[in-house]
Amino acid sequence: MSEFINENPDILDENQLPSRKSDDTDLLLGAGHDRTYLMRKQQLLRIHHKTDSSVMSNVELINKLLITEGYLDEAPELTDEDTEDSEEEFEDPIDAQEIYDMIAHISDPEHPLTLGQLAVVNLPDIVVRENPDKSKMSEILVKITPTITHCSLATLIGLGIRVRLERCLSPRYRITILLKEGSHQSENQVNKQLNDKERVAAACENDQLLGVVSKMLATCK
Amino acid sequence: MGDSYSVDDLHASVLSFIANIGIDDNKTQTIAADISSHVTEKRVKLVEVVICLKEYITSSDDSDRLKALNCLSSVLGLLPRDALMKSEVSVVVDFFLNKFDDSASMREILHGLSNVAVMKFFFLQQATQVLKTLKEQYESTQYPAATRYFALLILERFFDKFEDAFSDQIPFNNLFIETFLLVATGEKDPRNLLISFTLNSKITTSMESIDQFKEDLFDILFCYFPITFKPPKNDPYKITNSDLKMALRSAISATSYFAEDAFGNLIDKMTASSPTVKNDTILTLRSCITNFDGEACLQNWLPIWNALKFEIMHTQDFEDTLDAASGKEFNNYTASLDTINSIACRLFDYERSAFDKFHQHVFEELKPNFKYEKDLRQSCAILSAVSRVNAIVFDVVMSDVLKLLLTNSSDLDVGKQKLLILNLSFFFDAYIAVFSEVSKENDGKVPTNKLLDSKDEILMILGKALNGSSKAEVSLRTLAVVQLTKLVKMPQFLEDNEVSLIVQYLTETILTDENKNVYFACLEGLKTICDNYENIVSEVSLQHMLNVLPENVTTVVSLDQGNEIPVDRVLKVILDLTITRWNLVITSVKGLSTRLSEVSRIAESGEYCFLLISCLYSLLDFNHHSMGEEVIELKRTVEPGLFKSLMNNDSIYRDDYNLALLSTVLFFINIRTPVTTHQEELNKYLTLFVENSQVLDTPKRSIITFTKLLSSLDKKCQLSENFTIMSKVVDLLKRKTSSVSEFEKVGYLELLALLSNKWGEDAESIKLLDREDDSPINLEIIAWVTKGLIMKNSPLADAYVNHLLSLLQDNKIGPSVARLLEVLVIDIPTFSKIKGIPWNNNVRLLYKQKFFNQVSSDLVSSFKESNDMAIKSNYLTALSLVLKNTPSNLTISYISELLPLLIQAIQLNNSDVKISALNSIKDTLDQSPQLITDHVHSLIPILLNGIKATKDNTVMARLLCLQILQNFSLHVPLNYLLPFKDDIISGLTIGLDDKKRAVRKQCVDTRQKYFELGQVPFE
Repeated sequence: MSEFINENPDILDENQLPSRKSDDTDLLLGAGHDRTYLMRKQQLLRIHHKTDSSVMSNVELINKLLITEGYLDEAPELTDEDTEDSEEEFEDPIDAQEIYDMIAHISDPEHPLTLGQLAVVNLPDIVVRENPDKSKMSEILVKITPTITHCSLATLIGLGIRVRLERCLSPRYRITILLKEGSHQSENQVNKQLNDKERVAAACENDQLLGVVSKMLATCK
Repeated sequence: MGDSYSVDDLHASVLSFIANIGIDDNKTQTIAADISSHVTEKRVKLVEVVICLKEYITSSDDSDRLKALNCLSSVLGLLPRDALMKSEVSVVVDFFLNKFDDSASMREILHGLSNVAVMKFFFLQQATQVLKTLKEQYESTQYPAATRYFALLILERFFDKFEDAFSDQIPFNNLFIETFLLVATGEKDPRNLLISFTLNSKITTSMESIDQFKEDLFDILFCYFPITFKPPKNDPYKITNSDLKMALRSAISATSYFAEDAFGNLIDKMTASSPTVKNDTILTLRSCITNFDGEACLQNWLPIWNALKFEIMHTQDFEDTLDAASGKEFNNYTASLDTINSIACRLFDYERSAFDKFHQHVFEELKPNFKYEKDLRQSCAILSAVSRVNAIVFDVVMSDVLKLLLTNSSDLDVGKQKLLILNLSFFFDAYIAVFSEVSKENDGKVPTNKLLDSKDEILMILGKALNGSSKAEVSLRTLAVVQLTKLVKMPQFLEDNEVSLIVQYLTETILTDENKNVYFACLEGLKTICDNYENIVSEVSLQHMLNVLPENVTTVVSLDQGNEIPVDRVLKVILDLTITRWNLVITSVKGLSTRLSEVSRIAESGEYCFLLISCLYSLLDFNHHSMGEEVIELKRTVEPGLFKSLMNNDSIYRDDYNLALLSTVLFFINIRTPVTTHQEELNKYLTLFVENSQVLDTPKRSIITFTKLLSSLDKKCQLSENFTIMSKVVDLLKRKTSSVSEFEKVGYLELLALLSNKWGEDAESIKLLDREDDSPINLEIIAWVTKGLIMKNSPLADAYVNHLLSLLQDNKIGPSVARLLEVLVIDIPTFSKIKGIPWNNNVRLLYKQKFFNQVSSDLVSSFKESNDMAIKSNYLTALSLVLKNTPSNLTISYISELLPLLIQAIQLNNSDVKISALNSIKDTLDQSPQLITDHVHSLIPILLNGIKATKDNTVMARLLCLQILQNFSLHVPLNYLLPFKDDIISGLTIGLDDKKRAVRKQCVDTRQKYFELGQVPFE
């Protein structure tokens, strides 16, 4: 890989990559609290930079004392029949953005840049078809765009993405990785290679190849 | 020691000296001092010492002679300067000079001579003699470093002694230099080199006729350049590489005589490939430029400029140079620029025409770069370095540069805008460098200058970059913000109204821009502007932000131009901006309080009130330690209003969080008021709450406010009704248990803890406690009163702690009691120690440690004794709740004992217990992983089980399990962990399909760690 195939790709800046609108609820864990409490905490987070501000811990304290009170006031029962109502958790569905976040930070094998920065993976080219019945297979389709049409590393990039997704996703997802239409000279061949289970498995047996893939995945966040 | 000192005594001393040489150096020194004191006091003559040594001095054994001379030289070294008569000096010198053919004794001969040299009666004549002998008979290369040291030392001492004689004794002058050249040639010992370099620069700076020797003197310096030296271990002389470097550098740059040789040779060295060598060369060049006369600089600047220009234009680590914190020891790029600055300074001081010629040349060479936009940043950096000389030069350079930079600046694309601003910034820095000094000397006045003339255009360019570009242009906008801030820092550059304009720009930007970089740049900018223009920031920025806070229930702020932003953003900026600026804090507190009074009157405004109150809370929490006298005025202004809103407006009074937080705000204000006012305040509050509001007769929500206010007052205040209040509270709680709301109950209980801690007599407090009554409310009363006692380490608390512990084995109330144990150690902010406030409560420093020691072993042993799972779980719950509230550095030593319990606790069906147990394990893993290592095999299945989403495995619990598993891969030895690798990877599959994104994310990261576990690092 001493000579780069594409010396001067177009590069996106790290903060130009699509990202999820910052979601404060991620920081507020622990169910079993009433709505106002959670909302208040969210408001605090927007004003303060961090979760461990004194005002936050004071709010937590008030809440805790109230809960303890509530607990003591109810006829006490054994802990294993804990009466605390834990609210039903909201579900965060797996969406294209989540898949994007998993793979956009994979390094390109020949540039010190990520696939997201090189626009090899793009948010609109990721499709998630969730099956509401979780015992059935769901599907994920990722289309990649090599930086140039004769990129010989397309298969390696595809393999890296596949390994990453297989490690990150539940086995109930069927993962399909395709080259974006018209983005590569030997589109069909590469597509075939990327989605052939046997060939992928064989590639993963190859220690040297796995080493290269590990290196690509090392930058994942 | 008596007065008599016989020759025999002397003889004995001499023998003892010789015997101790090389064996005990301290001893020889003592003996030498002894002998020399006798010589000084004339009890024995120096010649007698020599006679005593005669046998050895004439011995055929080299080492005997050396030892004898060592004895003599050491004695000489310890004599006072005037101890020897004229004749004696002469005899001793002759004696040593006659020995000069004895090369084996050379070290001591030179040693002796160096010591005689300082004698009062050592004259120029003897010095000439010694120098001649040295010149003719001493061959420096034959001798080891220690011997050469004395030769150099002799010269150094001669120089110091006869410095005045050199000017009118030309032959002596020349003889000295010739001898020095011989003695110093071929030296390579660091200690000797230091002497040689210093002596060399002494010679060149203070001797007059050195012209004929200048090349030789330069050669014995420059042959060492660039010098590097790595001190050996146990180096006795503690000479460092930089000592040598500096000595050599100052010797080379000591005299203009060297100019011709020095510049040529140094410029040759500039072609070196090693950056270290280059750095040494550049710095030495700079030192030469500064120290040599202007004529030398005038003769040589052209080749130096070419060499430096090459270095600057071709520098590899240009990007590093922008980043001051790149951590490198030196930076050739900036060193080169500094050197160019030195040339400019030197030439300007020497002759205006010389400088003009230099400037003309530099400018003409760089001019094409402006046209073709090539190496423009470097070119501007160079010109900026030149312009830093002084105000006159600054104007000369600016008049040329601005013409080039500011042509058609109106219609640039983003890249060009950025470049232009970057290039301008070099000259802003130069302005600051030049005019900070000028303004200091001139009562803050700065003469008019060319950059000032272009001020409007510069402001326009920066303003356009900030306001006219899209928000996506983060780097351009950040740059504009940074440079606008710099403009404010430039002395006398801006008028007040222009500063206001910039503050306004920054305020608008910080409120509307979502990007973090821009946010922090603006924040930093506003804070910097505060340093000099706090009033402007307060009026234009802070007051504006306070004014835009809406007066109705909406939480959206409408700005000009139809921008809408959430209220919390404004509050966040207020908090960040005011931190540590007390005047701004006061303005904000007042402004927010006023707004709160207005808003809280409106129904349904709870949420907005909460934002305002929490902001007030943090303002005071962050800054109350810097409050001074102003707090009295602040209290007078805001307290009545806040009080009124709190009591009368439901948005606050009926809202748990708002009421509690606002009460704490009042606490913060009061705690900094002078103690002398507290008694009066206490009486006032008692009237207000106890008499008027009757809080002790009917349950009132305002009890929490009362409690917080009492917390803030001096514990020395008289509260005679203390016991009555406490018993009334107990009575109220017991009588009206069902009609007291939870919130009120917490307030009353906290009051009990406060009173028992602060004003109560311990014996009286416990009178209120009834150990027979197991009703929940009575248990709570016990717990809270005991809390107050524990905090002051009262011995009377033990009985009640034990009482509570014993109740844990009760099937019915055990679980409640377990929770109550947490009350004993839970931290309440208004109870904590506040820096600088010794009088607000009786909290002992280590009470938690004492309490933990007391209960933990009890809990563990009771747990082991019990067979009933339900009871066991009571103990565990209590233990984990206590653990959670005790700092982990106190608990870590108990952990190995507790670990088995903790592991059981994770499996209990109670999310709080589980989380607390997991947290303890996580802390232990981070602090002392070896304790956990033994339990890894049992923990892994439990943790994998813990990531299943069930009712008790809350999101937090699942996350903790995953984090602990991830941390295993960092802390647990590989051989323990590898056998579990596959189990863990497949076990984690459940987490990949978790409902919560945060859990999935953590699971992915954890799993990745295990995929990489034991993998050979690539490459």
